[in-house]
Amino acid sequence: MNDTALKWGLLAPAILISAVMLFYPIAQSFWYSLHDWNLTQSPDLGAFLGFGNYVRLLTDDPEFWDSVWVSTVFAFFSVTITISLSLAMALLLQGSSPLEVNVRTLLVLAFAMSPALVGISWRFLLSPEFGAADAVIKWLIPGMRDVPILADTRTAMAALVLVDVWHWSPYFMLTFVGALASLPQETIEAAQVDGAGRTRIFFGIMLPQLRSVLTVTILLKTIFSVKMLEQVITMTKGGPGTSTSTVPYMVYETAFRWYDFGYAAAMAYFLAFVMLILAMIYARLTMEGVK
Amino acid sequence: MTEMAIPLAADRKRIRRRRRGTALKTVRVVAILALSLLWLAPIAWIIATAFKSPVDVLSLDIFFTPTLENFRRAFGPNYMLGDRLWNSTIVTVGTLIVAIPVSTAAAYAFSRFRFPGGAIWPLGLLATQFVPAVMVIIPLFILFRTVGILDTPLALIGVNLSIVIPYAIWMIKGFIDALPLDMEEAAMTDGSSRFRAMIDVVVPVAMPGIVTATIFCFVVTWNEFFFALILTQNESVTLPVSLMSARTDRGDAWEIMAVIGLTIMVPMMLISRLVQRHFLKGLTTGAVR
Amino acid sequence: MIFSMSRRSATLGLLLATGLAGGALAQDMPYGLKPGKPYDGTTVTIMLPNAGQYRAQAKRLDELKELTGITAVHDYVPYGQLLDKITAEAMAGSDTYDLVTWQDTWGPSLSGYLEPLGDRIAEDDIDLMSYPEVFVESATYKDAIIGLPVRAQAQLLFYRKDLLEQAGVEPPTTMDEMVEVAKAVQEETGVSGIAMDYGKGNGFQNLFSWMNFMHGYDAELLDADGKVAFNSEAGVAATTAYLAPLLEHQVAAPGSIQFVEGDKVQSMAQGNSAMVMVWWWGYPVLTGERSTLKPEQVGFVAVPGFGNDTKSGIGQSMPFGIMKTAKNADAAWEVLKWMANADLEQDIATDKTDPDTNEIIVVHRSSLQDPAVNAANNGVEEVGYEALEVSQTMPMLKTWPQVASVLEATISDLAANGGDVKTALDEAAAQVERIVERNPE
Repeated sequence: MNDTALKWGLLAPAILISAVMLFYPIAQSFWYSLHDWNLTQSPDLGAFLGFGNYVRLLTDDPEFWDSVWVSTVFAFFSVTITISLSLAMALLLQGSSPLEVNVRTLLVLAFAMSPALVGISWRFLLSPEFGAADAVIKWLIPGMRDVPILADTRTAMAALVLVDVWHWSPYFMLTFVGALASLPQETIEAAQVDGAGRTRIFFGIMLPQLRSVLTVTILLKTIFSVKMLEQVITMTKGGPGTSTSTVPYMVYETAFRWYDFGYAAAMAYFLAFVMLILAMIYARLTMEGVK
Repeated sequence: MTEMAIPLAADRKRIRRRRRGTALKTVRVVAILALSLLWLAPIAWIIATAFKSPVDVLSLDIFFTPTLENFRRAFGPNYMLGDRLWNSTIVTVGTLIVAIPVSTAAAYAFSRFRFPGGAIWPLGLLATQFVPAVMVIIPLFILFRTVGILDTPLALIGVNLSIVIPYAIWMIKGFIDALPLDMEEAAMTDGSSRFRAMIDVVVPVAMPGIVTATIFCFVVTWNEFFFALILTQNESVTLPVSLMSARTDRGDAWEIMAVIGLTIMVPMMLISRLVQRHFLKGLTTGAVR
Repeated sequence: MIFSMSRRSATLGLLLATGLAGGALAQDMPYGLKPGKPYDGTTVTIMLPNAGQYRAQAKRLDELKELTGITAVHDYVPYGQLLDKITAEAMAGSDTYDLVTWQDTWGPSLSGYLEPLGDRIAEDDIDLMSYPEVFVESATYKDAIIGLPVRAQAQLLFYRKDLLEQAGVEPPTTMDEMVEVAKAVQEETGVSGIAMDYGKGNGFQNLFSWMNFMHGYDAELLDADGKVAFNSEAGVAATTAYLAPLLEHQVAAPGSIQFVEGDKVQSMAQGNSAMVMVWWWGYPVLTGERSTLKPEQVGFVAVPGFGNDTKSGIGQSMPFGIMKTAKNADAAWEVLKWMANADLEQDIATDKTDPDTNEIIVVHRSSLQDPAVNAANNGVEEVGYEALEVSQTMPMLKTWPQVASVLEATISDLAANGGDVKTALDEAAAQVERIVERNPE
């Protein structure tokens, strides 16, 4: 078998599945975004608007831009905190002692919870009257005593970010443990013999070798953060006010609550397109050096 | 004198390092315990809720009389947890059996072969995941209705594949990228075909990556809610949908949600043991090479 | 005509026992069903959330099959996702479901997908006067009736009998009194006066109480020309008064800022608040298994008015209607008549043999006043009925979901951050104006 045949043979199943389950519906709903499709007016696709929905989005919708800002803030903090924390956790828990193995096994349970369950549970735990976590926080930090955590503009966003970090860190920790395990040990041992400190070994030797895994995890976490919807629905409903109303929440509301489907599709594709460009720039910047 | 002084200095350094080592070790253990508390206390609280009688659910007392009544109700006709569990199992196993080999193959191809435009193809595939689920659901709904597979596990396996494959390809590709090319080249000079070299040499070493990807795919499929809600009616309803059924127009039945939540977590408790073993294997293979 | 008859179950049992049901004459068919089983062998699929009332109906589906030959299938959808599911079905033009239910305020936006029922109602002589006016209004859009109410809610004020007694106060009848009572109880007992829900939740819950105040202060949402009017002087006064228990008098439970409907009821159920204004479903919750209260501690009155003649109170219903795409619309109508029948709901509301199908909710005037129903449910229906006869629906607008989102966010923001009510309402008005302009009714 020659390489070209192997290359396409290996790719064929993925391409086939993606074509039917991914490219087709995406092309179809992109087509919707070029139309006026308000379901309260008619069940059928309305007039062709070209990029009319996109123009409206860019020029005449301050609420959308508010949600872009909310999403940006959320994504920035949740990505940076999750990735750095989970890498730290991996360094802490990478060993094979029973304590480390068991803690690793147990931490992953947080990730096993569905996003909706995470949101519902934390809303329960942060309830001002019956929430266990709320009680603990208020006991530890007396200054928080009068703050309704999910109804205060400052703390609601912080809670959303931290719950997301809580949910994802165990998974990325596991990824990093896996990556650390496949690093060649010789260089690290050699450096240790040379008397290099832990900090130097980490930044000088391990981090550069983790580069491709880091690139991928940051990219993935960014997608998860930008897409995050369930916790907003289950924890804050975008509130208080619209302070935690992210773009996916707005897309969901516009499509399934307000029935402005064509416009919601435009929001979704605008977001996807911007993110694709950002991802490409990011990939160019970080992957150049790897290969 | 000088000949004596050098080993002495080295000894002192070693002793100092050992002392610092013990201190570091204590800090480490404390940090690990703190982490465990932060992650496990909320989970423990939720698991405890599954065993509380409804009147204890909203109380902040740590002690309560445990009951199995919530389990009886969750598996009863209102929530049919048994059926839902079975459906979720079929959908998840079906998805994983297809997704992991398909993604591993594609990841290898993307990692080792040249494409015009380079990384843009897998990146584009990944970028499809920026499109919210609410957007792709309608065309898929119509498609599945035409084909006649609405309310079957097949439809759910199909959409779950479309969600997990792009991620799995990236996760596994990240690991394969990090592996030196000479490994498989060595195998190929020994007479193996490239395909065999991939199976025999690359896949075992990339195992930690494949395992993390599998966990990810498992969790995503196991917990997928929105597609399952829209594409099922009665026959193939999954666990997350029944989780949401415990939120009624009269408020939330926390103790039932906790039971369902616990059911959602149980398989992870079981497989994460298995996974750890894989990781340990990864650790030792890494050490040997 | 069927509604004037007394309970049918006994007659029905007899018919079934003697094997006459199938061949019975028209006037002998219970529930106003068509005689002769014209839809024998058909299946009617119903989309509905899981609730005691529906589970009780599910138990009786065999009886329906005996009478009509129709197999009715309940597909339960989580309450919070009901609208998502209906939307997807409607968009895809799916014929899976024959009957669906919805929260009344979604009616206008869904009206294009539902069959108008006027002709069927006339043909079968169904008397809409048998319902409180508010429920019929809530199933009507632009003069076309699109559903029959099956499940509905009346607003009550629940209070702690023991705490009010301890403070030496009577249950309030006006909103001003309510604040006074809340103050008195809070000072005397240390328990928060009233639990409110200023948070954002499913289905714009915080707007139900707000609309109460709007009605009470004679403030309009939109004026007669469809122009935005809620930022009028009266609107500002109503909104200020609505927020006053929290911001001005500090008699609202501190958690109220974050609470949604379920939370505020739990706050009272857990003994943290002395009063709560909520739908009558609150009663079984406050006296039920998750509550720390005993039934004798929980009193209720109709939701307080404003000491003037304005209609106060909101009624809310979950009508059932026939999808335009239904495969078996005629059979679905038979099932709907059965589901919406007064005899059936009375039978269900008086059956306390199984906690799983325990239900207090009835929607017909006759049932609301029925002594047996009231005796079985501590008289919740009578008090609810009193409120319902002066209640209004929420605004029936196609744009309501979108308008309500803006209002809900404004209220939750005002409660969380204080701020000037007039300014906030003006901002909301500008947003709503844009929505109304873009989507003419």
